[in-house]
Amino acid sequence: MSNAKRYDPEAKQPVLWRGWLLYVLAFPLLPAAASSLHDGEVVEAVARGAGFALAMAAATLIRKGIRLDNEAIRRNLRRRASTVRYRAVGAGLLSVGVMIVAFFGLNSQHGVVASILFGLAVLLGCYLYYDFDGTRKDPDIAAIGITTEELVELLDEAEGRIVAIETASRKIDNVEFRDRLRRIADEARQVLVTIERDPVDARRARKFLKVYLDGARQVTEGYARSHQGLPAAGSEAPALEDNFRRVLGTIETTIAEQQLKLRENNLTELDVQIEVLQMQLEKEGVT
Amino acid sequence: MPKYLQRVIGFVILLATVGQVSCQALVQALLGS
Repeated sequence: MSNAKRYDPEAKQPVLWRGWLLYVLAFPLLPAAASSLHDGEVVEAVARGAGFALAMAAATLIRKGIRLDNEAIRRNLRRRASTVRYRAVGAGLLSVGVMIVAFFGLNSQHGVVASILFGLAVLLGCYLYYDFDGTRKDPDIAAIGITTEELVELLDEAEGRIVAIETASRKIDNVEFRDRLRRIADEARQVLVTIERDPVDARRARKFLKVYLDGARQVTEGYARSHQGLPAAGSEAPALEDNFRRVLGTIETTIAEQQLKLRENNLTELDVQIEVLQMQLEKEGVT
Repeated sequence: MPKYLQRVIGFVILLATVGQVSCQALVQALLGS
């Protein structure tokens, strides 16, 4: 039986409890910094403040790393998470922050060696608790091409544009336009599904997802806005209506072309795979 | 090492380092003022 999980875009994101730990643990540094500033201890105040800022930055980066991992699991993506190793960078920042606070911010309670040991222990703790972004653990993960971070960003932006088109279309009274916009949204979602299944296509569809879809959103929102507060259909400016009808036609054609292109690309890839297999079989004497 | 054990150890280390340093700073600030 297959272990593959079905991707459910409606599924709620799990709460990142692990990511909150550092915010909580480092929070006392803020009142401590304020208090030492009040007492006129400038070096201590700066050290504690810097430690707090670095810990907050680290917590944010680590949370981002965890979120990307969760997204990749949720969408069944097997790609390199990001070009930036968020969790490793976060752990580094936290380690530096703790070293600074231990050495400068605690009234000379710890020496240089103890502070460095604190820093190293933080790195180890982060590694065990957060698991650095494992590129070496999974050598089969695509190391080239689009990363999970780029892909998720691209798809989320596109989904946002589609939702905006749907929201704007509900404000339009014209039934024909509403139907066509609903179809456009459905077909654009199909393109997103195709890309999610085979992220290699993402680069090819980038212009469509970013430029054309955004243009469609702007036009739809503009049309909906211009018709709000106007009397019902019939008294609408016919020229504007014709223009909108024409632009809807262009959008539909673009989406159809995009889908065709993606399908053709997949077929070409399949063609190449078949040819390679054929050659391999012939060479090795199986056929 | 099992994952949960790794997490527990990591959690304890972070508590003992980040938690300790920041709480020490707070205690010093409270006692100092």
